[in-house]
Amino acid sequence: MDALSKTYTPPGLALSPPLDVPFQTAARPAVLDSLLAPFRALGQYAILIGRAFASVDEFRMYWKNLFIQMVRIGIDSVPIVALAAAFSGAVLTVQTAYQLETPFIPKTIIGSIVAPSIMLELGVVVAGFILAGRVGARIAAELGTMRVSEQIDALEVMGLNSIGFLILPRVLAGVVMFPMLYVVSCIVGIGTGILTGEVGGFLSASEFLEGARQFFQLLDPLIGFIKSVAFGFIVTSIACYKGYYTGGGAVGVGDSTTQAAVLSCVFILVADLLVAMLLL
Amino acid sequence: MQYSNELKVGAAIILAVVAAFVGIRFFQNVPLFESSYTLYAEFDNANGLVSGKPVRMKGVKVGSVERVQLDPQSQTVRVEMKLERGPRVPEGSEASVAGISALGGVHVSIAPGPRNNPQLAPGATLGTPDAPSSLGRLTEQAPALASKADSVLRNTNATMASLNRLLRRPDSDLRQSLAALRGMATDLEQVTDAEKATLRRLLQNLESVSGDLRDFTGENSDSLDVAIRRLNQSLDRLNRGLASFEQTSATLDTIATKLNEGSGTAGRLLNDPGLYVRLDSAAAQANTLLKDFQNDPGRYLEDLTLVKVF
Amino acid sequence: MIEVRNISKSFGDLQVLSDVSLDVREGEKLAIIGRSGSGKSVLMKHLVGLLKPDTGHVYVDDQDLCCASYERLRELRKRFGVLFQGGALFDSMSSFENIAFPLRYFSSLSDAEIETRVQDCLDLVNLSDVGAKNPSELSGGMRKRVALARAISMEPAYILYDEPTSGLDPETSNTINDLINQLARELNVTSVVITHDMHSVLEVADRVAFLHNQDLEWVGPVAEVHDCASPNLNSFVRASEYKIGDPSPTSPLSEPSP
Repeated sequence: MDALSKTYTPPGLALSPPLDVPFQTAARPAVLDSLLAPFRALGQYAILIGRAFASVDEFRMYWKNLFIQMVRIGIDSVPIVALAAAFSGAVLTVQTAYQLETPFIPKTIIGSIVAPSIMLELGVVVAGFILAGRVGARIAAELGTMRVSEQIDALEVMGLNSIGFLILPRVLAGVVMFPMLYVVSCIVGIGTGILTGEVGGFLSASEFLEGARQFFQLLDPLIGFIKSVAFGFIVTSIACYKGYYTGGGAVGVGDSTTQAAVLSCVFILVADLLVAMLLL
Repeated sequence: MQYSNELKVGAAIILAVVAAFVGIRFFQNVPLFESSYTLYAEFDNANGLVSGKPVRMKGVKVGSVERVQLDPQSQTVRVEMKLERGPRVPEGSEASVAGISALGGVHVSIAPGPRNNPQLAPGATLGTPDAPSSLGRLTEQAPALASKADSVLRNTNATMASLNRLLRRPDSDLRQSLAALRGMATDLEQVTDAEKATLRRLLQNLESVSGDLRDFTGENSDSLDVAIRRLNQSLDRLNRGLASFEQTSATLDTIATKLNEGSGTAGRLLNDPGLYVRLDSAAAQANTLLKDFQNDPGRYLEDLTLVKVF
Repeated sequence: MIEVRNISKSFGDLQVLSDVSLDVREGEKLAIIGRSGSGKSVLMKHLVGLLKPDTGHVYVDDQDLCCASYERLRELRKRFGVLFQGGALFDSMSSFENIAFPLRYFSSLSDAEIETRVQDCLDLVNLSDVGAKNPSELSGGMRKRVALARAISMEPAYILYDEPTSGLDPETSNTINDLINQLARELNVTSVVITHDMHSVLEVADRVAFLHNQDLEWVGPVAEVHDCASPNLNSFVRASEYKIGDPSPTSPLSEPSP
């Protein structure tokens, strides 16, 4: 039973899969089965998220949940995102300054490199990674525990739409609050960048800003914003999927949590590249 | 103090939106609350100018480029600029694209017009310092031009001096030689007439030169090159005119020598006072013109500051 | 009245239920017994539509759960109260909020009325003063009783008990058994108790259904359990008798997370 539980995948037909019965596929060769597993997972994920958004009409029942999740996912994440952004902004400024230490390049170029880098890439990706760990793991662990302790079944039996109740608010909160965190990340990152140059004495604030303004394009923050929305969706939806379909007790919750964080990071990178290729 | 989730979320979102807006405006270098106005400029070549680039006046940022577009009809680049209300951009200001695009430092540079001019109205189109290259060419040619004019005037001086000497000398033998001179009178009259025409042409040429120069100072004086060329030609012609004048004086010189030697017809010539008056007036005319030109060349070359060598 | 008609269920190539038919009569207390992994929980999940059978039908008050839309299914589920094995209390909320939870979503009661109702339910399970406590602060038995209070808060017609006494000491088990009897009596509900605790079966059940090898091997009144014709049931009952009062271990998979 224990060994089987690790390969447990809930049946697609079940509205809410059972926990004490491992799922086994019919007489297909194991190799083919493992080859098909990613496709099945993708389908299951898509159906789950589709059903979450299909339940949007009964959202007025769950709107309070949305605000709870927005606070947990968004506002509670501000300190850690700000911390990460502060360090990445400072490090980027110091290292760019170090690399451009030639008399032929004006110092303002440091600002022209650091500010767009943070707006375009670093601010949003660093925030995304931090949130994959903080938000993604939290959601997966929360939903996974609810699954293995039958709280999701309890919701269903009460007549609640557990997907709408649990997943939709989290995904929406992610999509709305990640851009907010992105703004925090950018401001703190660029702010510490300026501060580092000023305190370190190698770049004045006005030099930094002059360079940053010279090369500023509206497209940079716009792409960062699009990325933040995408990352918000990726982190929360993958975590919800992993958590909602957790099986196998405490170990299962651990697996789901790890996979949610890892998969979120991987797909953040993939989405980052896709957005960059499509929009730049 | 306990705040509701809704309040926290709402406040956070509004703060983020405001911060994003302020940040973007900040980096776009557009004044946030200070009102701005729009000015236009037209260029032949944008040189990599794009929206968001700064607009500078005397090196100080006064606004930013809002839009750059190619006018399909006039084939010029029309640039829309947002300028801060603070610094005055007087009428007669000129805009140009400056900086090197490879380094990203392209910006619009405004050379302010005369200080006392009124502020440009919003929506006005700034002039461009047209063909700054031809001005440069003028600067190059100015010394050569000046020295040429100088040598011409020195020649004139010398000629005048010899003429003066010549005219002052015939006092003793003039009456006796009148009969001898009378025969030559017709010849000399013709020569003087010819020289009169030459002098008139000379005068006209000089006038046209100063006219060109005056045109040059005008706003649309894109014919500076032509003006310079014409000035050159005029000076050449002046030279030629003076050369023939010199010839004339030389002829007069030989006549005078003949008179001195007591040549018959020359004596007769000198007896005719009308001829003397005519000759005198011609010389005086040339004299006043050249003196005038020498004393105050600025009058003819008014506003052409580069020729201030005179 | 719940009618289970010829349902079969398999997960992959693992057959869990095969052609099971069962009636749950109005007002009775039915015990479904069987070994761990015999499919008791799967059968129970079919009763509330948490699982759909591969073949067969489940009728609740003459309405087919298997063909119902999700919306209809959710309406039908409101007739049920389910006591899950670990209680399945929402650990982010206090006991009070847990019990009030379904009321807030599915009743038109005012806050004051909800408060009265929650207190009534807590009184009914003899836990009048734990409303403010979080589930994590409660003992296992108390947690089950709070969960029971939540299950009855919507005044269901059917209460399903999933292993109500597993993991509890004998005394607490007795309290729970008494509670099941009391609720059936006072609220006039139909009870389905899934258990492998024979002591509990004898205390509570009117009828017994024995699930063995994916099928119901024996269904009959509790009085006849000891002298039935089924050798498997006989051995099950006998095994239990030696273990009465000793909580049976449950499958590691169905163990609630600590």
